[in-house]
Amino acid sequence: MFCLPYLPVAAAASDQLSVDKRFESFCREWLQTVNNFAAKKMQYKKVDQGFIAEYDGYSDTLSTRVKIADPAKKTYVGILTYNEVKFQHHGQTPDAAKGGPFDVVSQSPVTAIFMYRNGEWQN
Amino acid sequence: MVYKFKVKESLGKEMQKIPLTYLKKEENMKSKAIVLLVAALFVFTGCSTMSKRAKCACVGAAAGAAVGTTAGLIIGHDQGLHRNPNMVGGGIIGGVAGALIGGVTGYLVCKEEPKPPVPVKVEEPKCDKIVINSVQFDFDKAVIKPEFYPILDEAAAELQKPACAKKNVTIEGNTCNMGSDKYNQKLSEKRAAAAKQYLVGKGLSADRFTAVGNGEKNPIADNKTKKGRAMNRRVEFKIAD
Repeated sequence: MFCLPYLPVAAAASDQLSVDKRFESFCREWLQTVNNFAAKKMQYKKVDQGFIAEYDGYSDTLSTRVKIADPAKKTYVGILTYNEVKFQHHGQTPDAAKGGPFDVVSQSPVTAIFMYRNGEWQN
Repeated sequence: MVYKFKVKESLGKEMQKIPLTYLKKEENMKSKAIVLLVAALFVFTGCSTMSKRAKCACVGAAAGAAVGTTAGLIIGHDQGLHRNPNMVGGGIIGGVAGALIGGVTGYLVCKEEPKPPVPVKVEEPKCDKIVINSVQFDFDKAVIKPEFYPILDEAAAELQKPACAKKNVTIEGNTCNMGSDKYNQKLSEKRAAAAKQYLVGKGLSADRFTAVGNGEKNPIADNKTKKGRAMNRRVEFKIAD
């Protein structure tokens, strides 16, 4: 009986927890998709001793947080923070350069903002 | 056989006749003991550059060596050199033992000085590039649907953080590849302008923002899938250095 007033609060907390967990896996999948696509946009530069292959990818280290946007409509805002990474590899030929392994040349932080509505995180 | 004698006097004791060969051995042992004492003094002066605990051990060893050497010499002398000349070596033994005991005692007694705290380098917070993905526009429209205002509100909050508050921002609109290049170019420009208008309406200074369109030229996912096209329809806020 004493718990009844707390039930909506508990339900909301449980919802948010579920949404939080789903956001993290959503973000990992999102980053995997952009990273896979980024590797296809490889660029090549000719240098004195061969070629440099480079592309802008994304780090697999990330942080996430979720905020409630509209409790009545059960919409949330998710904030993903990750690093945009420039990768490079040097080789005698473009194919050798493309083969890797790639070194990290620079990193810059990115904040991506997403919305949760209709029961799922939106791309 | 003729022996040469050197008469040595010691206070309050009967004069004793000591053979020369024994006296030479005694002189050698004494020299070694004195060398040990001098070495201890050199070590003592060299201690000044060490850490506190090492210094204590060093000083203890030097003091112990000095005391031990002196004690060994006195004991050896009182024992009577003519009875057992090797007792002069007690000076050396005393010195070594004194150094060991003194060094260990000094090390244990002294506590290491706490190291000064390493100054923490405070890095200036950076202003991140911001990407808004989920903002939806009706097809062929550049009007932001109200249900996506919370995302732009979050972007506004990020841009108002101290690290970003004084930075200029380029707002870049992007589209998927449905429609012609020319059409998508125009559409992306309108969407960037819509995002800028919303932020200015929230109180951010219009002077900070430049709205541009990339059309479909800058995809981040494969346009062949529905998911990929949705990911490409986005607005990016790029912070000027």
